[in-house]
Amino acid sequence: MDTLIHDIGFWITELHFTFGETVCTPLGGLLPTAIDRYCPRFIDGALTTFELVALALVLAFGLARLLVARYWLSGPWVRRAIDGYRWVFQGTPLLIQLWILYFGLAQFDVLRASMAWIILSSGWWVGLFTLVLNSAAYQTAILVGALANLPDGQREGALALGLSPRQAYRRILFPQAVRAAWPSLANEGILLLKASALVSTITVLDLMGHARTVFSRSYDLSVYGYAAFLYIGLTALMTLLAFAIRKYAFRQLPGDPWFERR
Amino acid sequence: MSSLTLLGFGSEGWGDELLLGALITLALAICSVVVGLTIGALLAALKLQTWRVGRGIAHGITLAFRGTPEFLIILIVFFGLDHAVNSMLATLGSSQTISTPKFWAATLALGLIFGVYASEVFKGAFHAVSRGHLEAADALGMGWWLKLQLIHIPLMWRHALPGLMNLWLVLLKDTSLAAVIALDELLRTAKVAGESEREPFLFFLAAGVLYLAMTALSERFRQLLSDRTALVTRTS
Repeated sequence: MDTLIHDIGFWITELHFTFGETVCTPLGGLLPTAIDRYCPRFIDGALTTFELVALALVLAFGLARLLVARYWLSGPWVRRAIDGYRWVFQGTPLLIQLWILYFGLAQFDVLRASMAWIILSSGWWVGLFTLVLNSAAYQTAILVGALANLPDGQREGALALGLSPRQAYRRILFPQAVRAAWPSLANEGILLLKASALVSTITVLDLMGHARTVFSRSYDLSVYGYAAFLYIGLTALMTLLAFAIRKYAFRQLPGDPWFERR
Repeated sequence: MSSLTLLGFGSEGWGDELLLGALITLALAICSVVVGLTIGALLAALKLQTWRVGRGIAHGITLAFRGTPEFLIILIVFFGLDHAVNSMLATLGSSQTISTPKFWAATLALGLIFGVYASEVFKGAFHAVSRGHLEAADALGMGWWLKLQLIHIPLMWRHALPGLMNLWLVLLKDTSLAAVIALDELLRTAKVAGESEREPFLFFLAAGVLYLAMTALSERFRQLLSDRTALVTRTS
């Protein structure tokens, strides 16, 4: 198990670098000297960042979906528990959340001896886990707000048609809340992309991690400039993806006000 | 040593160091807000005037900052300042080097981030002021400067405050990034304490509680402010 996870990680990194070589070889000599030699590293970093953030966003949406359903359909104690979770994760910096799980948990020998250590000793897994918990808190807040802002007639109409509260939530209210909240959710995706640079402090070689390594060798500031350029590119990609998902995923829902406006 | 003595005050415990770290965090956040509001106002002014090149520059800056991680901005500002100051000293013929004060580098970086987002808040608030007020000012024969100074800007604050309070909460959490340039604020103090006592979990937990206290206080302050502005809305 331990070696399997390690091997998969190794294999993915190898794949990134193979891809990087294919992209970078034809560019040889065309790139600025500060990053020319390190081009495959930057490609590997950008791919790692993108995978980490995309995976974290999808998993966090799944978790937020569960939590919002509990929040909407369960009693006050469940609500209080979810509010507490949100309060802790939205009230503290992401950096402290990462460090508490990566450096903090490592002091307990019980954990070091257990199966969980396979995950907890890897910066990538702790990073993914933390990003999921953090983003799910923000996404829950966004979705709960969107649900509360839906016109009450939607729920009343669904109940009048004989749907149970659970069915009304699943088939009528939640899809509309996701659509109404989509711009905020896309914005959260971009914020998470930028926040993901912090995983480089727990040894993950994402775009930021590679940029810091290269900078520490050359002390050439333009390295950070090119990294920023790549991050802006990733943000643009994320925005386009959010737009595409909106266009194709909400087809069945009639009357998207955002599309009818134009 | 028990966790209580470790978190206590005096030479044995780290309680006083952690509180000092929290104070530095607060000071950093407050200084950054001052810098950030200035930058935000300037950028918003650039976005709201008619000169197209100026508007383009302001929007370009906003786009670039929105797509760059805050972590990267802090590093660029810190090393950039260091580089700029020392190469200037070198061209002046001095053989001295100055190490950049970390606190002010972090203030500038966080202020820039705050300012870029604040400019969008200001822009929105500027357009949100109701037409009737501005028309009344015109009817009274006020010039553009008098109207801006006495009517438009004071009325704008009411619309800008909720957005600015959100940015303050984001900023308070972003101050923790200064730990990576080794500024001894709350998070870095906790890391150092945890490493030297081999109790990282305890000290990170303590720092987390202090961050929660600061955000909870800010929430309370936000509530007070929004109550006040709501009162103004009702009577206007």
